[in-house]
Amino acid sequence: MSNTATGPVSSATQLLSALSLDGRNSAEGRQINSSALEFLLPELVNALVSTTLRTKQISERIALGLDAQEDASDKHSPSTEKGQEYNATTIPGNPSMGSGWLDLPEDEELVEQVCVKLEMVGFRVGKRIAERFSPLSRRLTDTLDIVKFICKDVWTLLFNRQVDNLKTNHRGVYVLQDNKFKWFLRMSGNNGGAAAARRAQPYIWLPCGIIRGILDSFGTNTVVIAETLGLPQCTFQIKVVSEEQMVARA
Amino acid sequence: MAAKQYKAIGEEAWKNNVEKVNAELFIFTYGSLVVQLVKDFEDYGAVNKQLDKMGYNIGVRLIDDILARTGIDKCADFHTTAEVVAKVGFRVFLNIAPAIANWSADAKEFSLILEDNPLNDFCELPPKAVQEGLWYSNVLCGVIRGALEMMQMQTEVWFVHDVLRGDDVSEIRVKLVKILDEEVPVGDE
Repeated sequence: MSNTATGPVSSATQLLSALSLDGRNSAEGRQINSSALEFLLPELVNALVSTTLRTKQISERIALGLDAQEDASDKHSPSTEKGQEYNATTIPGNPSMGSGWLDLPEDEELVEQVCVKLEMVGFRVGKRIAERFSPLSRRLTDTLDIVKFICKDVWTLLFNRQVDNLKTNHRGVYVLQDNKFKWFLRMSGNNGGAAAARRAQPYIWLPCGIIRGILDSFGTNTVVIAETLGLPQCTFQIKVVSEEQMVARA
Repeated sequence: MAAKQYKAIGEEAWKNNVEKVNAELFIFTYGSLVVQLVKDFEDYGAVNKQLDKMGYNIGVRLIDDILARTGIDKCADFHTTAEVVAKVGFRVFLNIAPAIANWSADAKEFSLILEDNPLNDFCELPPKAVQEGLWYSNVLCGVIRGALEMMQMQTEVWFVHDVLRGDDVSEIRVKLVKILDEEVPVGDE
């Protein structure tokens, strides 16, 4: 990537300018098939479900003492067993599970832990997006600017469209509405809207994390939550958390 | 001649039949996922395994997508398979076409040389990850294995070299274990 700055004298400054130039030039950048991410996302969620489950089982075993180690593998609670099947998500010879979009385990606590992890995955993505794509030609001076940057530039980069609606109360709350959130477009199901919305739940946390990550790298602490009234619509609420509030919380 | 044909099919599909997006979101998401898996497992071997498994699940679904987009028929032999994997599969999804090299004498093993692996963009492995054997892009192995299994080919796929680990090239080895009988449900052993 840094092939513009070759040779032993490629000092940090040279590399930096190469990087930023790269960032400018590649408004289009490297392109890949949008399906690649759509294939990856369910697996990402599934993987985090199984690792979270694994961690939980290990800690349960430790809590039960070493003797219980063998027992623990025998007497799974129903939810655990469901989770275990998760490990073997796509059964070979059963390609009819075409979407790879599976039911979540019933264990609410587990789902919550998965969501926290997904949010962190998103957060790291957001940080890197901010680093790579923050505008060089204009300065973002306040939170509204940054949010606008997210609504327009980031959304266009990521989803090939802009956010449909942005509202703010001018007191630190911003509401972004996307009526056709890309990751939800193909989430069909036969169990009705509520079931689909539940299954979509983890997928919401990823973009929440991304938004929070971007704002964080501009020095703004926020809480970002999302809800959907019906797929593929999705509303993100950004709430700025001031320093004092942060301190008060801690 | 066949090689050219598949090259053309792959490029045609990429050009006209694929919704393209900026690669960064995918690359960053993948990177962030690997970070999370490393945190969760605290064991690079287990991370490799998990990535391979995820890839496998992706591969079994992705094959339909490729067939639908390109209308490719069943491959007559493993040489053709290699061509399709490299020139169609990789082109349609990642817009790269790895070179095929190092055929084994019995024509059951080949290598894919990835000169330009998008997953590696912006990525640098910590020394510990290199030492303890993380194959960062291991998901690709799983994808190939899963996709080929859907085409009745049982394979073993693994990374031999990776530039992220300081090697000169990134090389994926693909080995045909056996052709699965169509009558038996795939993977039912």
